[in-house]
Amino acid sequence: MSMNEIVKKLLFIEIIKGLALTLRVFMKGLLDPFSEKKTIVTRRYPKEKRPAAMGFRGLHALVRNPATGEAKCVGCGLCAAICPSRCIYIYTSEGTEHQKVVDRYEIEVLRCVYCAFCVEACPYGAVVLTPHYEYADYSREPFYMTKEKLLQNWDRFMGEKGYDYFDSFWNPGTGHFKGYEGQAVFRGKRKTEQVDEKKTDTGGESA
Amino acid sequence: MIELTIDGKLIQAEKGSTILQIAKANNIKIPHLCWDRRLKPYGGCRLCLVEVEGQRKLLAACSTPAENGMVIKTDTPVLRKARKTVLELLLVHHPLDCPICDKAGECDLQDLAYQYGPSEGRFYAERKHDPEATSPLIERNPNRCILCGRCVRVCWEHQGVGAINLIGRGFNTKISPAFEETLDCEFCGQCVDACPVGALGTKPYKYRARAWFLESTDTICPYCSVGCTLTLDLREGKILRVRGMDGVGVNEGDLCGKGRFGFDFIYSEGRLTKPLLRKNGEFQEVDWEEALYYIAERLRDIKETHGPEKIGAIGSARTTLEDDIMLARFFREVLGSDNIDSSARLGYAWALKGMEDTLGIKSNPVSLNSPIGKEVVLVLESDITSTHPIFGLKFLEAMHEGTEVIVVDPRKTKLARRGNRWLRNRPGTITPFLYGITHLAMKEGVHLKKDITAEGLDELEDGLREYTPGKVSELTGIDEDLFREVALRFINAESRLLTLTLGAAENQKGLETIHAAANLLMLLGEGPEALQIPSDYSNTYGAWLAGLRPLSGGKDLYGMLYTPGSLKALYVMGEDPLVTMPDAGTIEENLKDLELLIVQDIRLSETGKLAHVVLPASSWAEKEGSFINSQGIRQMLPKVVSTTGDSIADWKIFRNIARVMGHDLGTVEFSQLKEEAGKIVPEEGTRKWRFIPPEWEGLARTTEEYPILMVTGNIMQHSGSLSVMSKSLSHVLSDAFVQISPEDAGRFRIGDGEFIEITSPKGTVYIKARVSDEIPEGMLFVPLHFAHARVNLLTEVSRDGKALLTPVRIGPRKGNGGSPAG
Ligand code: SF4
Ligand code: SF4
Ligand code: SF4
Ligand code: SF4
Ligand code: SF4
Ligand code: FES
Repeated sequence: MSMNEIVKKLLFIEIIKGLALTLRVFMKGLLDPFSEKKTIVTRRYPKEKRPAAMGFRGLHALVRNPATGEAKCVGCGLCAAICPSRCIYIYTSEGTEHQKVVDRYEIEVLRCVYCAFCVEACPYGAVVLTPHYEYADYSREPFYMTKEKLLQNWDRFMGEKGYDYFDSFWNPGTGHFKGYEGQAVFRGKRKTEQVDEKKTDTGGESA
Repeated sequence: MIELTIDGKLIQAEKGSTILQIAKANNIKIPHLCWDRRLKPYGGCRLCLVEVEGQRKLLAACSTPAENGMVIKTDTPVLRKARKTVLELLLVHHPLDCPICDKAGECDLQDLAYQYGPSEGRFYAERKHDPEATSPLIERNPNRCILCGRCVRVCWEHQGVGAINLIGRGFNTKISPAFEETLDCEFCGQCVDACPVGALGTKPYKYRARAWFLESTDTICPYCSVGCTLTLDLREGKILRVRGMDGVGVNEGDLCGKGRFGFDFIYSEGRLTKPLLRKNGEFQEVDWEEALYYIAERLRDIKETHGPEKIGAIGSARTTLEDDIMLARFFREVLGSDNIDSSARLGYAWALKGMEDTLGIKSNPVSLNSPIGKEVVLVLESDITSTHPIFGLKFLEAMHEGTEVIVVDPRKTKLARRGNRWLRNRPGTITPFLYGITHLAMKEGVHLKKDITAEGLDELEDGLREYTPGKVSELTGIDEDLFREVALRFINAESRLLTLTLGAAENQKGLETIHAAANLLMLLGEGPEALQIPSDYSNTYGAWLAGLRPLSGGKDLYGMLYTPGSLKALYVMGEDPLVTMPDAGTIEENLKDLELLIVQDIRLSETGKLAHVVLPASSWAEKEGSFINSQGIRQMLPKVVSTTGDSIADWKIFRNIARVMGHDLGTVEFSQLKEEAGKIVPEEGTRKWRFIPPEWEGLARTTEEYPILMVTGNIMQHSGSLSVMSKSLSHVLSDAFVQISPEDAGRFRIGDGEFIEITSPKGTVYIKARVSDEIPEGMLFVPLHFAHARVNLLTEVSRDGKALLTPVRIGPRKGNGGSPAG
């Protein structure tokens, strides 16, 4: 240790420097709290909320298919398969028209680690993490998300901008999955019915 | 032995095996889609291509026999490219709807496409979009089919049915039942297990879960005595489907419809959840404590006033070995009664007795593979492919390998249709048929060439004198020359096998049939291995070994159920005598006379409806235990699902009653019981042979008043009275019916599907008729599974074990409307 350093240490030079900086910033804010320049970094939360950036991983939602008004999810279970905390539960059954029906889609949010793997795994862009982050509560029950609640989350926290999110932010985007004429009909249907079928059923293309 | 090199590894192998077989045996993976262990090589998918040094072409490993000195490569850039192209072509028309396809996650095509396939195809073509076809149990989605033909070949080659076929050509080819109908399907579901993709699936599982949500557990089938290993797939503690796993269990992955679809009986709405106690004539749900104290008190009372010999028990052929041991111990140790028996008394016990009388053995477990490699196999009036389906398959397999399978049966059973020869005899005449062969064998002097020391040879010869081919032909209705030919074929064969079933539900064979069969075999110098008689149900044999039979002079089933006033109290565990046992009318009267009837079952059975107390027992999947199958193998069952309602395992119920009665049976934990059960071994016999002279009493059962013979038995989709609880199996068949020949239908003016009246000296029932050419004139065939039909009101019980066909008269149902059931 050099002489110089010892002197610095004895006289608390570094600490004084730091305190001076704090004081400077503090005074600035004190003297000019409402200036346009916004020198204050602290926010007056909860009165003033920080907007989440695109791709923020907040509360879950199930994407509503604009064509049908229903969830886009087909119950393929890939999200549940990839979920590292195993907190997604999907129950499907056969519908009256022999189609696959997602009866229940549930997320135990308290166990989620917000990795967004589910969003990534979904081949339909049917599940998403919304920018909503304020959902503290007093009991566990509100954190158990059912399909209805998850669809409401979409309406409340994503809505129109959600489609945008999948198109411009998320990669690969929905457009990247474009098939071609005649591909992938999910239910056996006669050729003539197939065109309408595709619009409504294959969420991936219509969104 | 040949030597070849695969991927640089020097391998020795059997001559005649294919490259794929050798690779498999040596853990070298070659992809394949159309190959199946059980079937002839097909060479259709071209995925198993390999490179062989010195050959310019790539060869299909599944259909190329290996040769000495071959140098084979299974993974090279050329092969990878070839496989990629094959997959690309397979995917051209494929719908790729993996997200909703139930096969996803366990699909061979998906796995291979992932491993080799391109992420984009070069070929653009239209996807197929044929409609899905649904049937009660099997789902077809022709769009996903890759035309590997495995389902078609399993159904025809292995199962011997041929319900599906590939129809059309080229791009339009699709799998379809013949004439687009599900005419012949037996709903075994073997095609579903064979399909490498999601083109075939089972209906109950459709869209219920993804493969990766499931947990698998192996257990043993609760139905017949083959004792197949079922792989149960559960999600969150509920069984969703059952599969056979290639190579696992005695069945090596094959399953019949009962095993595959019948598991859902445990979820039936009829399951008992609480003990029921009759109070003022009505059942009331009570808790265990009340029920147990009531039982303990009543049993103690009856024992004190009437003595232990007035208390009896009927055990079950489907409860576990451990349950059976506890029932036997409770009766012998706590109540001091030896009146214990099970339904085996009506069938398998006679088979055992017959074999003891003649061959001097006390047990003769079957061997599933016994038909394979034999020169001639005779199947005697037994529908083995229905009662013991996987054992039945072995006969078809043997046939493919050159065995001559000869079926003697009045019914056109599956084996009759597929066997090499079918002789249609009159119902119940298999015994004189056997006498006839024995007679011929003696005339040929076969026994003179052998050194036979068994007693009774002379009496046998005397007794058989009258059974000349002419007489046999007259009795059985089989052409004399044909009979002679078949008999000589059997007598002169190098190796042979006789097989029959003797089930509690069957009335056309009996003790005399077993004697006749054993006589014939002994005369030909064959041992017990040549006589294959499987026990009935999953644990029929186990119940027998566990001591569910009188061991020291107690009353047997006949003494308990058919002798008025012989008992004051009866304990019935897991059996429904009113449905499954003959002469139900007499049983009902005797049960009504009892002071105490305790029925312990998984549902409220017909017998349970007469009981004073009904106890809810846990079902097969809800408790630990073991079954002893017809091969004498003890197989363990794990506890797979949680119990229904308040039900508890049968063995625990006995432990608890004993405790309430102040006895400690020393068994607290299952592990103790398991150990005890492990000590059970079949008894040996003296092995001294003895001939039994003919004792068949002839056909004189029909009279002018009752001109038709009614045969009872089991059918393919059901087994005893348990399977009717299964929703899936009931989808296929839930209504009682009687099969009648077209001739008789014409004669008595009965249309297909009409209700008819059947009257025997015992009573009358009404039942739906099915006109079928499987049945000869003068015969009716009735399955006994359906409680509402009450067919057993017509039958008689044969106390000496002899066959007792039921003579009946039939006619259209008189009057109009009214409840059809008797
Ligand atoms: S964000 Fe991650 S942890 Fe949360 S549900 Fe999705 S996959 Fe599971
Ligand atoms: S991955 Fe997507 S489509 Fe599949 S179950 Fe999850 S949310 Fe639904
Ligand atoms: S059969 Fe296989 S590849 Fe085809 S859709 Fe089903 S899972 Fe996907
Ligand atoms: S249905 Fe399945 S097993 Fe049958 S041919 Fe098609 S892909 Fe093969
Ligand atoms: S009923 Fe018999 S043959 Fe069928 S799966 Fe069960 S044990 Fe096997
Ligand atoms: S497995 Fe060899 S060609 Fe299909």
